[in-house]
Amino acid sequence: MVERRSPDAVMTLARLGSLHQCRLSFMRQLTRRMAREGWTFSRPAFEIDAKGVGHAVYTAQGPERAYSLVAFAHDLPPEMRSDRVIATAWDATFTLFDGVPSVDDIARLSKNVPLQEAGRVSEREISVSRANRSVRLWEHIVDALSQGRQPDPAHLDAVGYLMRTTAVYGSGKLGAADREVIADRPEMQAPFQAEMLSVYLTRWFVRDLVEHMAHARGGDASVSLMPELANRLGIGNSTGLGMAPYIINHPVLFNNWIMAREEAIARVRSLAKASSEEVARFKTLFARAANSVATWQTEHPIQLARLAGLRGDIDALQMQVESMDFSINAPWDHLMRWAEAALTAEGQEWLASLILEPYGDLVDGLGTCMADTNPRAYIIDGAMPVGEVIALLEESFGWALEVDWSAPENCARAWYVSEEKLEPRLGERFEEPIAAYEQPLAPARDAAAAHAALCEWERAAPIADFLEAHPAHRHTVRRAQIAQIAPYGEIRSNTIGADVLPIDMLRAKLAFFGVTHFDPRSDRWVRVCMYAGAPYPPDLTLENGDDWIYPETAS
Amino acid sequence: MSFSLNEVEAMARKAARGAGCNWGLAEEAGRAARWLCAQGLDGVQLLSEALSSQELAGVCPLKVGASVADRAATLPCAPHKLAHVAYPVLLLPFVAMAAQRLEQAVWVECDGAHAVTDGQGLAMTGDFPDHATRVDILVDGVLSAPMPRQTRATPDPEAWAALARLAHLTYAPATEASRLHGAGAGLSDND
Repeated sequence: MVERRSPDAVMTLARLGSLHQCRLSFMRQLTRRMAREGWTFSRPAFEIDAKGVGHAVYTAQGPERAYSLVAFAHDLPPEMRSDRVIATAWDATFTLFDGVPSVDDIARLSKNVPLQEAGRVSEREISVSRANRSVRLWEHIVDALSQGRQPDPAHLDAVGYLMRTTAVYGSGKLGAADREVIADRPEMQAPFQAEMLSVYLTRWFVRDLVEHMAHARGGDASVSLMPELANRLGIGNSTGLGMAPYIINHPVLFNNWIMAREEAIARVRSLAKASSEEVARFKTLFARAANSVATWQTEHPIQLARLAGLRGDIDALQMQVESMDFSINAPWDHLMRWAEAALTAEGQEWLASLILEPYGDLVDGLGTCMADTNPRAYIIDGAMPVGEVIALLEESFGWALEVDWSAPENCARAWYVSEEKLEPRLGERFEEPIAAYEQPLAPARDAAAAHAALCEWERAAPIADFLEAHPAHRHTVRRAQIAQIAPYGEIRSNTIGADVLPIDMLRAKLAFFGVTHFDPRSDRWVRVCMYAGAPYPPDLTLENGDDWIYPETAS
Repeated sequence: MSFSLNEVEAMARKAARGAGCNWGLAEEAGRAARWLCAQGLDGVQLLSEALSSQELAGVCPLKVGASVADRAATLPCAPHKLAHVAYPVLLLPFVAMAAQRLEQAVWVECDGAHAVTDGQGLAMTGDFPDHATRVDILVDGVLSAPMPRQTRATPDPEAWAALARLAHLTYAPATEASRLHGAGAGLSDND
């Protein structure tokens, strides 16, 4: 049996910032389920005028319940278009409604959803989101279709999407239903299924809207977007720092994501033999996954270098796979071991995700282990001896105990929340007046401080005694104890150093969503693509419900 | 206004931090307010009063509550006897944490009023005062008729506003530098 990779190897920011989607990604869990269960989809309303203003409703009907995307389309002046969370108007705004909305529901939502953070929704709503057009691609497609032409495929591929979402709020935000309200439903049990459904339906709405606008402009001369082209379009997502603290603030949840994938990798590596069908499946999807990497575009120097590394890795891997004898014992473990020595972290993680593909029966069941169903994990065990807490801290943060946390380069940054927009930001501790407002997002530094204080204490004493004398370490003691059930819950890198790259944290989370084409716009801001290549909801079948993520051609 | 319990927890946590609690205790305050609201009690108002009082009449229920939860293991051997506790209803979420850890119901006697919790549910009889002269906490009782669970909170609007004012103290005033660099954008989105 091959063991799971150790947290020391997996949980560095450099490694987390190299993760790729896999069978367990939340988008693929959703489309697989909907295809398997035969969900049906309808559009009960599309009341949008020639200027592109109005609302539409898209309903997904599952075996027990229905969910509806309520979309509001707006006529947004260009000077108002901003992806940042400080924006106050958008090209389109959305909510995912629990069921099928009545006329009264639509009237209520029309007064609130377009306002986003300035509005309120109710327990009948599960998520709230908004999207902006890609101006250049939108105009190109409306122009072409209105004149009876298909758009230039190269233009489509250069952008990849017609609209990008700039926030998708769930879990009780803005008054919506709490996670607990839906967590027991089988279709919502895995993380972020409501948000992923909302985005999947949004992509359908966006296609309808662009065709509607082309028809409004061109009348009878206009044509629909060819399905082959429409399928290539995804939904963009533009994400900033707001997402980064999430994986620190939810250590049990994040552990469950990482542990599920690591368990899947270990299971496949442990297989003694690979059948010829399994090897053929791997090789087919290898080529298709390489197609996706070929169309991945970015201008950011860090990602450009990583991407060049990945493309080199894929070439090397191609030669290795072609020359390899897959009839040897434990072929997948052999390949992974070869990759550890020969490939960059990007290439290693790309391969690790890809070897899972032939083994749905072995892997997919782990998807149900990825939610956080353990609210008791946050209750401190005050009877635990001080010595045990010290050992737990050394296990998760051994590397951090050697770091000089007073050196400016090791604590150059501080996470804070701005008064202006109430969103997380990352500032320069020694240049801005922010230290007094610091958020608890440097677990390693805090662990080193708690460790030093604990070492002064009697090892057999209960931790409750220590906490009474040192209440400031309560947060850290809780995290140390959580690590008992969440070995992959702590990032094993400095999150406040001068060289920290918040995009690594964003990448880790987005990879589990299932995004592709990670395109940083700075060290703390990223655009990605969701659902590119996926069938539109009415076309979803058992055949295309999962491997749509790998494009058949390099376009 | 109706709030999600997640909103209650987030607001309570930030307000407790703004009022000067360390992060660990602020997290407990967030969970405590949420737990009380889930029982149908106005955890927002109770927390607001406890955090806003200049001089608490008695010991802080959050601090002593955390200690009660941390010392759950000793509860079966010896009841906790507390004197002069401000807003003692705020102890109940911490007693519930102890009950969860012990997997036994815990009984609270407070100046003639009492409560019992198994960690999830809660039953109360009598009026809990704003200031308790004496609180006894012991492993005992059976939770036969818990209060109905709530999935939403409708807190007192003034109390909510008071927590919002405290929460605001945790936000860093914006500077030109933070606007430009803190969020890391700067490229046009009109593309």
